[in-house]
Amino acid sequence: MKLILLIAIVLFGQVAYSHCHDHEKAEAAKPSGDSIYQLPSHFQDQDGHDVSLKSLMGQPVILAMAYTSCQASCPFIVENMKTLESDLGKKGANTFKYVLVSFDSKRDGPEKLKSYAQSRHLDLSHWTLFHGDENAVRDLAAVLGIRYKRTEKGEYDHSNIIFLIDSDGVVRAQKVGLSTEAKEFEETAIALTKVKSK
Amino acid sequence: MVRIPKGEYVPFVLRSERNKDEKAEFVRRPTQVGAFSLDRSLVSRRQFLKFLKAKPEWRKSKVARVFADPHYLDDWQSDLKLKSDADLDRPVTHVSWFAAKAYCEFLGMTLPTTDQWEYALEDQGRHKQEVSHAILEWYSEPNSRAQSKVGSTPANGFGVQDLIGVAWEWTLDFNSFLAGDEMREGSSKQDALFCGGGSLGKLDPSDYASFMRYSFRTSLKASYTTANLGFRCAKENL
Repeated sequence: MKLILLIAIVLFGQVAYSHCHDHEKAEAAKPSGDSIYQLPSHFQDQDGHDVSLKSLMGQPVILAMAYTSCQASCPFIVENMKTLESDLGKKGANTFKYVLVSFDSKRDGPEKLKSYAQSRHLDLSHWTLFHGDENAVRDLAAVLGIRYKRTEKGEYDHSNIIFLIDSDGVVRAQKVGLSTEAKEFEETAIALTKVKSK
Repeated sequence: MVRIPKGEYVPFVLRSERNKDEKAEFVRRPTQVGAFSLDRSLVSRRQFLKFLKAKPEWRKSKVARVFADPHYLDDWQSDLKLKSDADLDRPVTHVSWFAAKAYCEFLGMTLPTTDQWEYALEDQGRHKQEVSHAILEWYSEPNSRAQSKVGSTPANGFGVQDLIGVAWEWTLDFNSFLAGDEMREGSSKQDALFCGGGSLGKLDPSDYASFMRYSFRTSLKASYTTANLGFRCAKENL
């Protein structure tokens, strides 16, 4: 079909403009060079569904990497994200997807993630939790600039960062550390919901 | 590639352990490394060119900015052309971690882990003084060998060349070392910026040569490229 259309355009050159427009629409679905969705990585969500990282494209995302058996800072990261969810919700910005990606490929399978989500009372209509193999975890951490190391005991030492990613997959803000101060991050997040992505 | 037998070495990064009084102490502990294969030397431009011909998405005019910074393959004339044929046998530099990893994966290999690379350098303690001396000499004149060809330095006891004196190298887990910004703050802030106080690594400042390497690694981000940073590949032994 498309080939016939192409030939028709070459021969008649009349519908060139609308063809270009269609072509542009198709190209808009491709992530830009600055988008983290350039990564071809796949994960499993808490329901065990295979999900590509790229499938997060299309809405702004608030993302962090953590793991379920983390005793130290991860609970704070999750709480910070829930506070953001509540603050942004109050300001009418409720199109965000909240994503938690586990470092722990070995122990944090979908069932573990599901039960963690339930025990933390995460609203799964907004939240999604990802399990990835070591390569997927490594690539995502690399593209985000997160440092991490698996210890001999199977724990993870890691940076504490929450990311604000726009609907095209470009990182727009970072919240580093555990402080509850989030004014600038929230302002940038709200500004994102007001800008239409191309 | 060279087959490297399994063994142990003492890494530069100290480990936090509880001593008999239940107090946290930073100690040096040996690490086991399994047998593996390692490229005898750095990947050359000649080899990287073959990869670029097969994988257009890694050419400098096409690469996604998220995978390589604007200086990627800076000193190449164009996508598939070097400035001089004499460059072909020099190690490929101005490559990001993503590009280096993609090259190794293209050949069914991987980047060596930091442990594998450091274990190869440690060479089971052979020629310790010479190695230390060579490293410090190189660091004091870092661009002295910028034009070196691959395979220009003698092989160590394992048969590996060019670990010193030619280029810095990417490792698979270069982002495992939590030094730098995260370590600068006092202990309470440390916990805040960075999770995992129980086994937090620390660096031993008395080993200057190793300190330089680890510091360099912690300064990197995966998309960075520099004039003196190249790589080689490794493979698990089956």
